[in-house]
Amino acid sequence: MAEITAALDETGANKLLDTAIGILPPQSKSGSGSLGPFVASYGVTASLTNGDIDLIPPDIIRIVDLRLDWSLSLSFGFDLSSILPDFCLPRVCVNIPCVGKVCTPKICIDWPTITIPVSFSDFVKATGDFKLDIRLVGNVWKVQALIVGLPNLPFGATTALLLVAIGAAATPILLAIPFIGPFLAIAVNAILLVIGIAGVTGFLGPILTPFISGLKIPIYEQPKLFPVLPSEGPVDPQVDITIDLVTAMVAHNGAEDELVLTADVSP
Amino acid sequence: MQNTLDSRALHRADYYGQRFMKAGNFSYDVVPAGGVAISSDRPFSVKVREGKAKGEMNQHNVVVTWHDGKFRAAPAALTVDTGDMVMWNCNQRDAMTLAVIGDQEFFNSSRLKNESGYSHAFGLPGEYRWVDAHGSKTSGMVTVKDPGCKNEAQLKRWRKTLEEGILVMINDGKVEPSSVEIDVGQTVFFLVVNGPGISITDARVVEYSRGDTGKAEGDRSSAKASAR
Amino acid sequence: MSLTETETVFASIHEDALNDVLTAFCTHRPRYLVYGSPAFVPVTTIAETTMSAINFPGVPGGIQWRIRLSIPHIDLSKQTSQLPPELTLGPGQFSAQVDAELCIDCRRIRIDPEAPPPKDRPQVGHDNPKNPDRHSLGEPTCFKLSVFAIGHIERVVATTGEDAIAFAVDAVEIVDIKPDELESFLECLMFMILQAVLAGIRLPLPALRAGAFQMSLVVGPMIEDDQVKARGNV
Repeated sequence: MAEITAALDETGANKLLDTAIGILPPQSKSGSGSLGPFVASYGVTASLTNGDIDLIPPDIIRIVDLRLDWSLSLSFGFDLSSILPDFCLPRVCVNIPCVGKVCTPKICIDWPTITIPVSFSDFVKATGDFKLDIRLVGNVWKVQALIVGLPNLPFGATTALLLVAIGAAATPILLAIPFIGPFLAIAVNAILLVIGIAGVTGFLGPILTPFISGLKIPIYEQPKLFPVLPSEGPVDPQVDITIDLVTAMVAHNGAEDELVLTADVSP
Repeated sequence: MQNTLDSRALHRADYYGQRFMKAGNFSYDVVPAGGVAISSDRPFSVKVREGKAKGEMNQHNVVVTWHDGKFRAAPAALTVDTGDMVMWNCNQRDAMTLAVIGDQEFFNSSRLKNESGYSHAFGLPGEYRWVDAHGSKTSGMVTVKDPGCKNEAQLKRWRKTLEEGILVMINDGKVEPSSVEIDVGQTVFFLVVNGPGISITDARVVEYSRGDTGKAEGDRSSAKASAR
Repeated sequence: MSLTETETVFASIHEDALNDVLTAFCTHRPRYLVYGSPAFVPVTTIAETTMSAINFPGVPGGIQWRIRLSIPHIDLSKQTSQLPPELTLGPGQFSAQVDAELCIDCRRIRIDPEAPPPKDRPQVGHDNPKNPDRHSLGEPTCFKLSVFAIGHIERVVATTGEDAIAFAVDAVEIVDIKPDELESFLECLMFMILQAVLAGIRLPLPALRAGAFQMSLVVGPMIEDDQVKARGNV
């Protein structure tokens, strides 16, 4: 018989994880990644919101529709000539009255290197199984839920929207380039074609997946030397007990699945 | 890529043209724009020989390149006949804007005086009011429209219009036509028949300079003349 | 049947763990088990609690006394520990067994031949004329009792402000003291002492679930199946 038992049903577990995930601070990271053929530098901030909990014996907490809200700033630069052929002004002639014809030779102009900054925010939902992990770390008992396997984040419409955002961000940059005006739509399409949906997915996946795959949801954390009562004066010192062992599991009791923690203690 | 309308600072889509009406040897240099007053070297030349009957004109093109911090003209020594037009252009991506400066007053791309010209291909839509940065009242307007090409056919039509150049003639301050309307990519030739030595400069460039110094270039030089 | 039943949170502590917590309390704060008048306990420390002597006319400094209790051992129903036949452990009750040592400072009083002072002047003891309140121990006379009690738990508030439990004594039995009236006297004395002592030991509910989860109490705390159980909501 376990000495101390505490249990939550799925409703209680939902609330516990609402709080546990809700107090996780937004995570940020920056770096660079492949956006199609381009290298983009980025900064991203993400925060999580709990989904719906399904407790699965013996030790799985399944979170359905765990939501990751993310806000991304990325910037990529490239030589526009690498995706657009050079533009040539044709030979232009004018007739000077009583003098004759004057012509400019054909002038071919290569496109410049441009940098496109993009800001974009969206969210993605994923379902993940989290396994209970119990360990004593530096005299602190920790029970955490750790994700099992790498989640496959379903970006879906996000990728198309991000491509639209890239196109919108590229437009004012391109408009400032002389002679590109008539080719603007072609230039924007060329950029988006070269990146493609696969490029966006390939860019977002490695950036955002770690926010979930690295997720450790705190379930329980208490020092091994557990304070029962604090010191209440010079003649009433702190009262401690020792938590010798902690277990955690998902048990099917009666008609309910419950998250059960047990502890063995000693004076 | 720069595309400023300013005959004092020539870049890839610009040409400076000068007709040589008298025989002689005309030395010149190609310098970064703004270095006209500093330059004293004259490494290049145009030799003008007595040529064909008046009115006939041949065109000669000088290709300017930029290497190791210096401009080079090819051919470095050019022989032409009187009345011929020589055109200078540097179509190099990494080159600075340039000016062509000779010893004679007429031979100066920064001050278009007699039988000289400046062509500019307009790369961005907008309204370009141009003025003489040296202070004369000479001015005009170029309105550049976005052709709004939505398909291949429209693009093809637009490319065809690029072959049509527009001529603006300037004679002693009179500009004809004073206002032109073109599509992005088209070229305007500004031909100065006669004048005090003017520039074709976007008015906003002149206003910006005036905001820094309080005076236009022309105002400064006339102030010096009256001091003398 | 699920642990949480119609609530969302469940917590329980088995009597073994409860005894561990009680042991920890009494080990860290032994003064809750030792009480004495100044001759035995001059000042309150972690180890013991000073109390007043029993005033009696003609006994200088009063009657000096001390009581020492062992760490109570608790048995939650269902009954596991033996009880004297006079006590029955019912559902939802606990039994406790504690050893008590009572001591009294037995001293001879010298009769003062002088007339007693007026009642408004403080009496000065002859055996310590300088400090009437301090008396060295004479001859402590002690005896030991084994005391059995039954009771129930009550929901109280701990000194920390948290929900807590305290042990409320309902009845006490001391076995085989003669005459019966003396047994009844001592049972009554121990009943009052144990009520007071156990009421002062307030164990916070969060500690009784080792700090796991949050609980807003709805059902309990109650004694059932050798455990103290509680249910509530997050």
